[in-house]
Amino acid sequence: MPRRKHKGGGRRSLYRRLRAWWIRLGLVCLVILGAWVSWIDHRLRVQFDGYRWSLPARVYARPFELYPGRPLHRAEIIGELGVLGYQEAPLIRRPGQYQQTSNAVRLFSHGYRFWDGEESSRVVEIRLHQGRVQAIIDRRNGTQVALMRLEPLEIARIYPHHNEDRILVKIDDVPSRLVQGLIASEDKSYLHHFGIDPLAIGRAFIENLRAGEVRQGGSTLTQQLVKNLFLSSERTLWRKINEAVMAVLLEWHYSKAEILEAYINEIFLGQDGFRAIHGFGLGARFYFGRPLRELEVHELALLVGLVRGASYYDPRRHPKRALERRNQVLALMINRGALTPAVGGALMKLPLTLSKKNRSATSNHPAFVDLVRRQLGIIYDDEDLRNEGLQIFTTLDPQIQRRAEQALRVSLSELERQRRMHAGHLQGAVVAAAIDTGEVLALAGGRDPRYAGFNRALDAKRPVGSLVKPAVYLAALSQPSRYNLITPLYDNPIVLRQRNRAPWTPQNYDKRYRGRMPLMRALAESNNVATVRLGIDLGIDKLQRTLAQLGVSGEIPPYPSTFLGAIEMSPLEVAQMYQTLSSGGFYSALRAIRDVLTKDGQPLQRYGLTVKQVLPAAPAYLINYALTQVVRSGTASSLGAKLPRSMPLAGKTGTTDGLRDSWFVGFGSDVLAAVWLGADDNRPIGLTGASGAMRVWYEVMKERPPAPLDLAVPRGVEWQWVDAPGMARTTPSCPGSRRYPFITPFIPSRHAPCDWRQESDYARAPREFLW
Amino acid sequence: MVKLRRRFLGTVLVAALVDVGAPIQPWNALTAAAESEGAGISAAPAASMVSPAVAALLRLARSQADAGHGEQAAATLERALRIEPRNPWLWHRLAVLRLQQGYWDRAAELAKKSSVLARDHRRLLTGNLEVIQAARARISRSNVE
Repeated sequence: MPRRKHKGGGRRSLYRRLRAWWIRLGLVCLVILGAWVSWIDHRLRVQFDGYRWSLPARVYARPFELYPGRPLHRAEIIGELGVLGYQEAPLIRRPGQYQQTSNAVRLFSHGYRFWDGEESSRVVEIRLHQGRVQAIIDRRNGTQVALMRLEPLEIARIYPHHNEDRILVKIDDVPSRLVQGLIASEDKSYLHHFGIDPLAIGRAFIENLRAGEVRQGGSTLTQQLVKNLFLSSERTLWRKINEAVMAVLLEWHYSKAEILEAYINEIFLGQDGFRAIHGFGLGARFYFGRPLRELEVHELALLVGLVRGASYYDPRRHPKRALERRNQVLALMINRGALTPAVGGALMKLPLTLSKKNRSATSNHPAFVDLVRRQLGIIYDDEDLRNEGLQIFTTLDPQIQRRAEQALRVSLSELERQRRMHAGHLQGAVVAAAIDTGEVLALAGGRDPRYAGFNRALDAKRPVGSLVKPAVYLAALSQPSRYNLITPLYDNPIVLRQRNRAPWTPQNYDKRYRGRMPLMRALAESNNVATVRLGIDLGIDKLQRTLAQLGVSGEIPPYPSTFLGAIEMSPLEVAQMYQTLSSGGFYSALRAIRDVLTKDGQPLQRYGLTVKQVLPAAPAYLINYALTQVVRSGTASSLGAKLPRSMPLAGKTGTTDGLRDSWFVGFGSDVLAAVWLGADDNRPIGLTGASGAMRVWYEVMKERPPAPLDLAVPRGVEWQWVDAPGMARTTPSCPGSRRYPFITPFIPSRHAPCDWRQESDYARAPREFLW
Repeated sequence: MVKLRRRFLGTVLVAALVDVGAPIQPWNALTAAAESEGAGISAAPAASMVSPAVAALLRLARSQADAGHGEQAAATLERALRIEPRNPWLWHRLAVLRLQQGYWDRAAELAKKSSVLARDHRRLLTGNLEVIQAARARISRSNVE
């Protein structure tokens, strides 16, 4: 406190002391400021260096393979090209275009770097003849192409939780016109300033004063990037200062190129439902359906224009505004000398050239993708799946998938109409798979394909009814000393008394009894009583073992009703069981994924082809033969009549108690499909396997039915003519004699003379004899 | 069922199957001898037995295997199998490849599949038998060790 005595000297010392205090204060402030700046600096560098954008996982369908001899209809290839975004054009000039002639389809493929081989971009002519590819000619050099595959179709993305979506681009791959456009429109002196542009701020300030409102910002690209990456969007002075400091620091540590690259990948360019479009890479795809490097200058200018307001200038919702804004950008580019006035002027006259919006915001086939996620979830964390940009190559065949979805949608409505059911009462599921490789080709979880809710193909566990019978008969045929295809079974009344349960009288569908019949016919006609008798003879443990061999996991109830299918399985589990049967006894776990790659295309995981022989070849052959009889003359004979050129086809119908579930599984030599119909509330639907599920199966398969079953006779099986009662060998000329396969050495050996009076018990079976 | 969850840290996970560029490992004397005596058939099938597409894939798989890219070769053979799923030659080649990579169980099963499809083709049947025997020998060896 100054003393009054030292007035003159006191003022000077006061001044000096105050100054000392101010200096101290100033120093402290400087230190605090320095600490703050270096803290920001540290945070910024850590974040920017470690910054990895969350990229969604991308899910692809199987690539479409083309080779001479491949069965192919014109509509199939055109459909495939359509979903890949190819456009029909009178002249083929660039990748992504195709052309049709009377006997061929010409296309310019994009090419793709698959991890197991590069597919080059080609101009080819695909000649079609009688439903097959006749030849593939490379139009650039006239050579024949033995095999090619198209780029894979993306069917879904698995998004990060914040729903941002982007396609990363490297600065070297960015068209220079885009950079010029950005600089001209957003930050004229980007290449020269140090993070902030005082001149620009000053100019903006004056402009805004003059206009009386905030018209221009003086923000550099760097500042915009900082705002987007690190800061909130509140517009306070404090935030502006933060932003400025961080922009300067960013420029201090990183090059113009690095910052620009980050900017190009970060900037928000649109909203598609719940999905936020970030970065020019995805912006190009989203608005123009093409990769960034293929865009024309006016298209780039449109994207640049979106930076100022992606929703405001949305070209799909506000085309006029978008066009004006685009031309503004073009004008700025002319101003800056990036474009000549002539060129720029011509570009401004062009209309908007947007592509149709892809339905890729939501997954196209949620039920199938659901299976993919479950199979991946065994190995990958949910976070990794959503954020690391994994590329997942699946087994999906979009053509079969489309037919399955359509069949469910259309057939269920028709069935409801025909049977006067309440609309929406019926539900269903379809699983299609390749027999020898176990690849899941299609999976539909309900009649509404876009509804990503209850996935009946995976989760609807329903009693399988007669679908279990092949397992019973297989168990029998695996004991060739006791059973063969013509062993007599007895469809006679039987009552089963079980401990602690009411006595059970199994019944056939029509409540009749037919007496003695050969084993194969009992299966073909799905006879219940004969099957129960057979099962009891065999023992439930044999059935349990057979089902386990077939890949049916889960508990198998040890009751006689199990012989008639009182076990619950999902359609996928049913498909698995029949995969093992139809492949001749080689179990191959049904899988939906082929490969998983990192975002850079490095292989991470392969789901390679594996098989395991779980049944000997001979009984597997017999059961498959028996299942062809189901379609030829048994419960599925109306299907056989509709697909004569696909015969032999094998299958099994399944109907449950009270007509609550309708099942059908059918297969040829390459493909199998399992169909289930029912009501979610388990009420009766009044449909048998043949009248319900089999009709849907036909709708799925009719365009491209399975290849006929090629029943090559394995070692250990011999065909033999036997007489009508099936007791003795005979010759073809005897009436009632037929050929059957038998497991050696258990073939009827006794020869019998022809009994010309003998009338075949099996009159309905076609006879083969020579006059 | 035990769920395996592995944290993905931006490094390449080596799951059971992926070839990370290592050459096909030469294994011990027993199987090396078997290979040099020709466990499995190394010559290509006759041209009449495969379509041009499959022939091209067989050649590609061969060169990939020779260059040490076992998984790529397997993927190529699987691609061929999707075109001709009942061609016993393809199953046989895949069996031989898996044997060379040391996947004994798999190799044996693939050879069995080939044999079922091969029916009376003596050469293929013999080749598959060699693969199965070599695989079994190796399995029992590793059980003893």
